[in-house]
Amino acid sequence: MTQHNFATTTLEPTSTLTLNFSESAEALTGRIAVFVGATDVTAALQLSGTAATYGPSPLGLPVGSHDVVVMFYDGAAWTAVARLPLVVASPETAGLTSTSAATQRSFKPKIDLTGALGHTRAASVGKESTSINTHTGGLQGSLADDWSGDAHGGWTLRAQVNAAGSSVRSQALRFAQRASAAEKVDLASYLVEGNLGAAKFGLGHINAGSHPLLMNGLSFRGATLSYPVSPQFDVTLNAHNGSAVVGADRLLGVYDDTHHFAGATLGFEAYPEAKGRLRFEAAVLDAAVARTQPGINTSAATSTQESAGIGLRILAATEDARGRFDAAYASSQYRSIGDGFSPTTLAARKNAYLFDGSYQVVRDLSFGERWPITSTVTFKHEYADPLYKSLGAGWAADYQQTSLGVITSVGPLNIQLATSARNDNVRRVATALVNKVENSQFTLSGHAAQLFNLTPSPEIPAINLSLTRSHQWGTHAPTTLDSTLIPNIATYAVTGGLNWSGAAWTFALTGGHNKQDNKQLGSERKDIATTTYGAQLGWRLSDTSMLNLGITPNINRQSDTGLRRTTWNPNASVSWQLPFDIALTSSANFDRSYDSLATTGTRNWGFANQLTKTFKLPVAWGSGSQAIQLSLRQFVSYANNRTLQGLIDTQTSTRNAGVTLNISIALF
Amino acid sequence: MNYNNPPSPLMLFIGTLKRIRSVCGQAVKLALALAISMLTLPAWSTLTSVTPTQIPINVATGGVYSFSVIGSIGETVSSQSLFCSSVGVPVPANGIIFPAAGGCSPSSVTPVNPVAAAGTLYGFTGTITPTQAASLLADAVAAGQPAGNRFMYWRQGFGTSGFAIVRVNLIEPTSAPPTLLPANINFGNVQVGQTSPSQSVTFSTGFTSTNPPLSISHPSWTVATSNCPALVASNLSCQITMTCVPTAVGALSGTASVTVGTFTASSNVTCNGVAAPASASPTLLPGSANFGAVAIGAAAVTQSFTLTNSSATALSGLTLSVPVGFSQTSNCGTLLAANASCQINVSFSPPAAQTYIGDLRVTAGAVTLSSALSGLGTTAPVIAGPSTLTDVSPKRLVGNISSDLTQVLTYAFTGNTSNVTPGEGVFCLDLIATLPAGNTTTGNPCTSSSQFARHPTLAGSFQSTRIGTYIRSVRETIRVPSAVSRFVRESGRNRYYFARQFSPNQYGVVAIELLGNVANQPIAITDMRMYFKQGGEQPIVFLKRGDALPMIEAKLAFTGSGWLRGAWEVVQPGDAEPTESDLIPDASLPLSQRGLQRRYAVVGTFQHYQTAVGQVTLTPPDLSRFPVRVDGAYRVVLRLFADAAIGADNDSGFASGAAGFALPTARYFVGSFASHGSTSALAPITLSQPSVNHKFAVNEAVNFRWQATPDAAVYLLEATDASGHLMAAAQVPASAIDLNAGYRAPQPWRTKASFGAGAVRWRVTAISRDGEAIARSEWRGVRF
Repeated sequence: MTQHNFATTTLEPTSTLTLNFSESAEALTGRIAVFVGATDVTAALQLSGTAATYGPSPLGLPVGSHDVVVMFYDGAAWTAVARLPLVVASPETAGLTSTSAATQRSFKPKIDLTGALGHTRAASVGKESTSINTHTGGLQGSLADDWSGDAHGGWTLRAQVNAAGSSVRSQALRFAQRASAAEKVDLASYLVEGNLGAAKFGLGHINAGSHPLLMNGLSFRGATLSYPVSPQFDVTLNAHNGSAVVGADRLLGVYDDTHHFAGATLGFEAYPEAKGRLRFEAAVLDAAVARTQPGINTSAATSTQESAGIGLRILAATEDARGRFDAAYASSQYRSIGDGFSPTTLAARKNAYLFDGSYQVVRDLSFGERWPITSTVTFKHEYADPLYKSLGAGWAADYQQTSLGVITSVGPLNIQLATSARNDNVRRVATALVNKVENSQFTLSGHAAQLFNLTPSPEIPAINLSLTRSHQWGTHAPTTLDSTLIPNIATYAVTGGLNWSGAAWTFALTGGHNKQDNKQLGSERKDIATTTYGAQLGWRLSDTSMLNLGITPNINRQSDTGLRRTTWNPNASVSWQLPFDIALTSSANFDRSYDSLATTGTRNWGFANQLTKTFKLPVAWGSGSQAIQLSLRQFVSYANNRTLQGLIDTQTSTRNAGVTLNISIALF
Repeated sequence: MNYNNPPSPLMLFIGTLKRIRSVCGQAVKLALALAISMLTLPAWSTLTSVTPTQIPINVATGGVYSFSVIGSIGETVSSQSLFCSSVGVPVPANGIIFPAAGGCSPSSVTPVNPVAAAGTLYGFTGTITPTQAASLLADAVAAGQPAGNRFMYWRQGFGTSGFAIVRVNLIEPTSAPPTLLPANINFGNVQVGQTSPSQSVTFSTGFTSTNPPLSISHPSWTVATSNCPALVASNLSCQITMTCVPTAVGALSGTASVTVGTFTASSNVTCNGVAAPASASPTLLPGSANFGAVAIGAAAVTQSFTLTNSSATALSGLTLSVPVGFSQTSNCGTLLAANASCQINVSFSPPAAQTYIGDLRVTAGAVTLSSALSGLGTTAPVIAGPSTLTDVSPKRLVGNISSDLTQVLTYAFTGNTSNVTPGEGVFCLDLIATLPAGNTTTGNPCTSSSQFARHPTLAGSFQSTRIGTYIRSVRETIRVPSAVSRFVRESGRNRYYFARQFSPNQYGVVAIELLGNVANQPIAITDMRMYFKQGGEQPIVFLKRGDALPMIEAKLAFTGSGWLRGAWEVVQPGDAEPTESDLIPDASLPLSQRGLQRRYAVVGTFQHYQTAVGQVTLTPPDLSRFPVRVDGAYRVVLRLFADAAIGADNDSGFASGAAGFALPTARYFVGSFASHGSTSALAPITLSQPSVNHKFAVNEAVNFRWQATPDAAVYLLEATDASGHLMAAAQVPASAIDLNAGYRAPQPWRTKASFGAGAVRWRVTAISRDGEAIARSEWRGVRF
């Protein structure tokens, strides 16, 4: 590789990449591979002379910063001969910094609207003897704007807003939180993001935080800003709401000091030319969560809390990608603030740390042509002080756990061994138990055809087997604790399966047995054994139809009572894409459970059937060809549920039938 | 012999010899027989034993006897059967003496000995009458035997072998003779043909009689019933109830008596028959009854009516009837005698909320009597009395300082109330007094200074179980913040209490011990969130119809260990939206309400055994089963089934999987706007190679093949790990597609895709020249 055309230029997605080689590119066919990011684009290269060009592609170049990696095969191994940074900006800004100093601006709003009008009739017998006639109207909208300018080295701005509504208030986004006060049409999410030179920013439903102990993957409404101070240093600031929210109020997310996240991360790349090889991060977080502000997709917080902490992290990977290492440390001060329901607790600063690493210790070690060995060892150790807590990470406290695993492939066999040991009460508080959990697992998988060197055919299955042993028990019991209350449970499990796969079908048989052996003093006979079976068939009847059949019965036995509980749950579904864009989907399910004493049992069965027809009305307005789409859906479903609990026999049946007409309109 | 022709001497000699030989032969045979007999027969017969050697006989009632004598064959029973006050010699243990050994001081009573068939075992059974027993006692007294230890010997002779001696112990009453009290009964004036009120006499005795039985006699003009047993037990006291039924005018007298053996106790009975008064009409009282308001399904309300026949003639052909809403039972039968009465019980149990009126009607031939009935059926609960909190279960919980605590509590009630009002829930460190059984108190059990937090009282978190309309238990799933446990630990304590009030002033109390995340507790969900993995964790996503659903996860924090079973369900456009109660896990509901929740289309099930590690992330087994082809709003619901709990709480039944809140959901919207431009549904692409979950050998060529799509300009092949993270991708121009080879991945691509566990899923998307996705395959697993 001698030259390329994007060393100093920011490209557009529709730009062409050109790579020049020292020899004929055509002669390199089969010996080079070109990756843009994680995507192999070799097959899309056009070779001419010593040049290889890529693009313009219908997919376009991915916007953002990536590496273009050129791999070369010398007959023995693949090696990276070039790693070239690539920056792709949106069409409006790309190239401005190098080709024009004039200010440009574009505004391309895009709005999609859909609506649903329908008539639904539901009847329920048993729970209520009423019929419900419901007319619903739905509105879902999306607005996407692209702006750009050339000031300060170029900037882009993208905005997308999603809203949803229904004429039925119980379908409103915030009905669970606000009941009758919930808006029928509400803001679901929005995201405004862009860049100003090298700085990136985001507002709305952003995702930030990468410290597993302090601030990990916060996806709440808020704002973020990241900036590469230098090739080695980068800094990210983020501020979020205290929980996931929807709606137009609290539009920016951060609204008060009792319900927020505010964090910052400083990163240092030791090898900026090989990002990720060795990276250091330092993070700080200030967070508060109010009990009165439940999230849209979470259970409500049970107390008002706040935490503040710092974290350090080291990420490393070997150059040959055989090893990686991740170490994190955090120190967090947490307290609960009395609100009448929860008490005020002391603001205690506690620590947590983890080490996580893996290394491919053996790669393609050959013991014959069919049995090369590749083996990776994984190790992880986690520790958290008693009372450690950071609101930005769902991290448990007062425990330590060590895990060790070996993942080995021997020819066609994939073998995994894993073991872990965990305990709580790390400071050995005398009034509490030390609860220990040990897990060991062995899994084996492979394809019988490869294993026995047979010609692959649908009749030969893939095989998997798993053996698991768990032991959970308590030690260091307080002297005042009744010894019959100390847990001691050993669990043994074996599962296995056979999978057959043909061109148009798959069939799987599974089975397993789990034995919970209770060794707790005085409860030695309170054991539970569970046996499961399963059969699943997926059959593509034609290019337009698919059939699924399955059943997974299981039997549960309790040794002390002799109670045996059996469950049967066959199910079937078929989907059929008919001519004229008509789709038929039918499903039936049956679920029955009963025990040997006939004291409890359930029997549920039902079927559902729906027919959809899509119309497309080509129209044209705005900036191009658009369409109005009508989807007509007819459905009927019936469900019958019966539950026997002791002397109480409850039976309900529900029937839903309706026709909905969905209208989708793309504007602009 | 023919005397007309005398025999010759030779013939006589020969005949004599034959006779001698015959006689000798017989003698030899006899001698041989005797010798054989001597060898085979036992020694000379003897008596061996008598069983039993003592027989008790009640001198008041007599009694039965039974004994057996064992001896050798050939023994015979002699006629020497005597009762003797003495037999002259000490009686050996086997009860056998011989003739020379002693004499007999005979009694005036001679045994009656019905002997069984002769053999080695002689059985003697029979009866000693009360008279004989009395005579034997008299003989024993005459013989100078001390009271309390009197007896006679039954000396039974046996041929020459000896006597079998059985001691007959004479059991004398230890208390006063039986009595029948009062000694006099006077029924007074009783109308001829009518029955007097009953009177009772009591028979009492201090002895026991297994035979003969007790007998009762009474005058013929009385009717008597008794609860006395046939055989008399010691310290018996029983009643004889009599009524006088005079048949004629005039004074009547007689004796009622009870006889047991020789004992008789009696009372004098008198009655005066009087003429019948003038005839009177029968009556039915009360004439009306209002049963008040009764809730539908509540216990019936019952009132009694009395039918009195004051006439001189019986009422025959009685029939009773009640209107709808009422029912009746009676002891009247079809015939009510003259001057008799009977009772009718009428119950009101309304089937509907309305007013019920009608008559209790009694008909006997031409006679018709009635009483007016009225009642009101209601649907509203009727508070008929106070409820009483009697028990809370469980009484002990285990918590830890790291996570919230979720626990289902059941409060048991007695009383007939249909409404229980929860009050405050408080946490405290100390109790005023030791808790009584049931862990319930009247008044707040906590010391006021140690109360440090409260639990919300939310109406929706209480579910009641009723019998009829009456509440028998209330179920609450409490959710204790970890801050509460932290506060307790910071206070240097390891135990605290939760007290729940029920109006007016009753509390159920549970103790909470901070022992850590112990394994022998049922799984309880303490926290949960559900989200899509799309640029982070998104609670709501918008999809273009036909697009694959992003990976969805449910992250659960829990305590305890055990099975976590459930299902992924989807609420589709047109389905009734789930209410909060529809989203509560089974284990948090009373048994009677677990089958009443709305259920939706199941798109996947799961069952995982969870050790006590505190948190788990669940993902659906197959994202392709989520509906994405019809526009509208969808909601993903995680259903948790109740499961058996191991450990000390195993007895609590299927309690694993409870949560103190409605499980949160995630939503997705399908429409035309998730992607730019295209509004058409994606056509499917059929994948050909590799097969599902194929494991590539190290040296195996990594080839992917799929069905070609018309109008495709380029294909995008994506490989992701289980969490949806893109591991590797490839662009394959449609023109470059070799249907026999597809995409052949170089080793670097394989390295990228297989980094980590080596298990990935892959799919192919067809892109048009305009950059629009026009077809897409489903995900398929593959291993490296």
